[in-house]
Amino acid sequence: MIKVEHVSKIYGTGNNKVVALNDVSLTIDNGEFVSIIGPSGSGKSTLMHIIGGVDTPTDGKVYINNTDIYAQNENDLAVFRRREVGLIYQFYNLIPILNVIENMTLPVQIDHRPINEDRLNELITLLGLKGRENHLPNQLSGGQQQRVSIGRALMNAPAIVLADEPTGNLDSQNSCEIMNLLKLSNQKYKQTLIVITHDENIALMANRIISIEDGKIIRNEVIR
Amino acid sequence: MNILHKYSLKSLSKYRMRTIVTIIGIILSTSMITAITTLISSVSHYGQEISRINYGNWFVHISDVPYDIHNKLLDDTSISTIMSVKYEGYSLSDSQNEYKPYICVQSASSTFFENMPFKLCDGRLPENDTELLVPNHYFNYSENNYKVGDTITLTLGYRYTASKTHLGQHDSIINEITESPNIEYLEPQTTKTYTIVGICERPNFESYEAPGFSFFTNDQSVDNISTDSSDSTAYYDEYVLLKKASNAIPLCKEYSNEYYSCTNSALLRYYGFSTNDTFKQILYNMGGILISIVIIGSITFIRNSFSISLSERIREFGLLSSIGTTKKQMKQIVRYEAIILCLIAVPIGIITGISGIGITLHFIKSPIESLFYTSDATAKMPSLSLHLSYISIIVTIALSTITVYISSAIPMKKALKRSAIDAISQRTELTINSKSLNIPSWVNRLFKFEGVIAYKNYKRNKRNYRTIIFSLSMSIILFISTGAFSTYTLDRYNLDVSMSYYDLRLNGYMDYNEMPTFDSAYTAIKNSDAIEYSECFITQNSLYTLGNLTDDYKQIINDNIDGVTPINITFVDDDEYAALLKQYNLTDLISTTNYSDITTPILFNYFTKCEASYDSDYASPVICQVFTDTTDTLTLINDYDSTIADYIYDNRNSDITDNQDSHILSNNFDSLQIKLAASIIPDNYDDQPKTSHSTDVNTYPNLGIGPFLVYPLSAYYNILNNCYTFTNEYAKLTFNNILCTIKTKDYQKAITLIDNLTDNTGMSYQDLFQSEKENRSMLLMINILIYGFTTLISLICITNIFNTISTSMELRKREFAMLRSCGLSQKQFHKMLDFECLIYSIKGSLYGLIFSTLICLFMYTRGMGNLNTFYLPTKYFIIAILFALILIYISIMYERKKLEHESIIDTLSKELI
Repeated sequence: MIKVEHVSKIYGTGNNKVVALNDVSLTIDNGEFVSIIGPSGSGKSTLMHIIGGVDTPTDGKVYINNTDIYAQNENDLAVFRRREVGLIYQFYNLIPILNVIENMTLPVQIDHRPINEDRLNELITLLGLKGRENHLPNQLSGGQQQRVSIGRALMNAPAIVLADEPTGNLDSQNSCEIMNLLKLSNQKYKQTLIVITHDENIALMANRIISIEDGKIIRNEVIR
Repeated sequence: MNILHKYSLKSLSKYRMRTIVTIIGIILSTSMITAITTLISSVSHYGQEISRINYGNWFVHISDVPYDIHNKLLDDTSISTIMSVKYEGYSLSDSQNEYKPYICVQSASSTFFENMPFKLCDGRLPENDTELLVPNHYFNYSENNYKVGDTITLTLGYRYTASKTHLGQHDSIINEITESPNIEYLEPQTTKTYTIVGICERPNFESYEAPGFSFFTNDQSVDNISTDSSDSTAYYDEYVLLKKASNAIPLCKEYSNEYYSCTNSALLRYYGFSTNDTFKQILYNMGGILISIVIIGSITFIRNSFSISLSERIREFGLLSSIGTTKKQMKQIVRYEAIILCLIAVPIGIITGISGIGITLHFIKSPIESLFYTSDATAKMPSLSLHLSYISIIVTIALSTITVYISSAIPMKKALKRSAIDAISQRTELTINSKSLNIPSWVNRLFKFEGVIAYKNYKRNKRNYRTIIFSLSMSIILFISTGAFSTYTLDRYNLDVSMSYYDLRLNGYMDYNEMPTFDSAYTAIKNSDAIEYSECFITQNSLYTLGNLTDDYKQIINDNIDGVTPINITFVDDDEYAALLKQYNLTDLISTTNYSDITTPILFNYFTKCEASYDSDYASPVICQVFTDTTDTLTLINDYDSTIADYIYDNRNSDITDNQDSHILSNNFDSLQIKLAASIIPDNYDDQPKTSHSTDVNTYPNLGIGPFLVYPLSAYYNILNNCYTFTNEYAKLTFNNILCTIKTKDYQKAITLIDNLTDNTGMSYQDLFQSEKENRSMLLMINILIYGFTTLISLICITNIFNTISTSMELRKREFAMLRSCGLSQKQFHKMLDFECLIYSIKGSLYGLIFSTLICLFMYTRGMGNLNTFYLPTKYFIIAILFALILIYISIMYERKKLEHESIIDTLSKELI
């Protein structure tokens, strides 16, 4: 279970102060598929980054399975990120000098765990990357790069998958395929899936929609 | 392979330019440090070898120690070798030297004979305790004329004072006259017969005050701990070699309270243990400055090659952090990178450095070897060879590895300080001030909107711009510092060892009647086709003058007699006389061209004195005015009977004041008044009268001679016969000091001519060409080393500038692509880059010049260069600025050309370089 309690995120000081998140609290159950929507600059990505442990809140706490993640030391937080969270960014953020396999298995290898070859092959097949295992990111199309980043996020079978506009840079066909993949993963592996999107259709695929505006949750609606 | 190591390797391969540049930087710096330390080590090692030949292989000498101390020293674990010399006893001899009446028989082992500087004249060294080695300086005072093979019987005893204190070779004779009643006496011990097997030169380790001539015999047991009770009354001189040279001075101090002890400072200085030593200053201090320049240069260079791409590296580390890489794992990446780079570069650098200095040593071996000499002409001189300093190689490796590690670790640490997403998005990289920028109007006027963009980038992207400026100014500072070091070293060398234009110097001392002989000799020199140029100076220094002396002058010479002071007369070649008139703007005043008719001299109204100090090697000369008034006449005094000279000599140490009654003033001097053509006081030391080839007319400028009168040579006979009409015929009574300097065209032919002339005239000559050969070799050696070093530093600087500019341009590719995609034309793009080039050049040069000046000042305060005046090595300043400008422009042009050929959209869609 993910529990966000009175989290705020403020950038800058004085006249340059920007309140990205303003006292946000929410709870997400294990295995839920949640979509977060809102206009640009509303704080969606900030919220997701804070849940994923890649950005620190100015105020408030985040509990994941009853553990305050920001009370942990740096090391434990890093371990949390590699084992419990799979982050998918809008702009892929692949390591340009590592090939497809290496990018996908990076969190596992960093964790010094053996690579589950079956899982890897399954993901490669599922993600349609067969034959491209040794390609570098600059040899892949945008859609393929995004699939690699999804593969990286799923490889460790994390409890939480956070996807920030995963289809933002993709065409409709690719977008559809990617979302189906994520949904399948959510259903099959019972992973909590949080997706940020502008796309209404994608938002409607989720179990719950959370709307954010000006750093506050204005709507938190279960739709299925 | 571990993924993190794989990542490190791929990263190095991906950022090829940075990797190659860093490797080159490590190679260059490692090779230079290795070369410098190897050179120092090789020269020191050579110096050690020579010192051992000259002074023996020992560090500490402790004299006249009793048996128990002897055993204690033998047991001392810090000592590696101890060579004991046992006093067998003194024997009264027939020596005529009242301070050295004894023969002192000493026994030592073969180790002693092998390690001490014995110079055999005849025979061999003793091999047992019945054989004797005799020093030949004994024969200067004795009627005994011992030869090898002779037998000699000596009654040996110990020397004691009346209070029963044992006396050794460092205790000079105590006799009735000096130290009664504690006079010494000889207590007989034994009588021994020896066979003389060898005669040697006076051992240089025998003290001059030693009361006994050192005769040596061989006894292997002296170096062992003695259990023989008969030895309990024995005394020993110890020569000790320690395991660590650093323990020498403490050991000496430990025993110095009770016994005479000293160190072998000539040997120890080559281990770095000596005080107040010019050699140490030259080798270690200068080597230290050189190594500091190299270290600072290489650290800057390596750090810079990483810091240029700092933001990209931060982004990478941010990415890794977001995936879950711990701090420890990131350190592992950084460490691995440093190790790989150093594994490749450091061995190459070390090998290059050693080979480079090995080859250089081969060419500069002779001048270095000529700095050292042995007093034993029969000894085989060792050859200067390469000697590696393993400690310095280890230090070099450590230094390079640490520098690369620190440089790589900085972006990692910066990434860890921020959240992963901040590092990825680089949110905190550009800190934008909310106030709008004031763009100077000249920017818009000269460079239009393109200049405005460049100016905004410079103002807002401060971190990037600072890195570039820092790198550029460091390159300039490094180059100028190296240039300053070279200039000051060479100037200092030239100051200490001034080399003459001339090859030969002819000297003579003739009276008036002999002068025609000199005339014909000089005519032969002037007419010889083997001689390119010659100058002649005839000086007379038997005259005095009477005048009002300045207080400064009176204070300096300290032996004036109320206005009477010596004055020299110098006759110079007519050509050089003409040059002097030109030097001091006297050509209008003395307009005659017939110099033989000149009767009035030029007075040089000054005196030079060196203010030597015991603290410095170099004395700073002072120009001092002699006479207060500047009248056009002078009174000359002919001291024909040396009255004045004798008076000055007798009263040299007493204070003679103006009020003191001096009997000399009551004499009627043989004097006459002469008119002066001009009176000159040089502005400073360098303004003293010189010939056209820079020979000082005041021929001993540093020794405090002056004032002096100058006439042209052709007026010599006229002046002496017709002008110097003293009562006592001056010409006949005075002697002429003749100096003739010669520049040869055909050296061998000129030598033959001069040999003949000197045989016939009684003159002598110095072969400056041969004696300055050493100086020329040394200068060549210094030039090779310095210019070699400057070239390598220049390579670092050039590579650094190129790398800085090109990498920073590469990192802004997307930015440039965006601008071009918005419609910035090629011409506008060039203009923008030109303006950036201008900003970098001006700022980088400004900081470079300011700090370089400070460094030059620092070097000057450390005693480098000409100690009289501070000066900047302008040549290097100009070269540095010009080359920096050219290099910056070339680098920008090169990158510009690359960017123009790239597709805009491809560049925009690429995430990283």
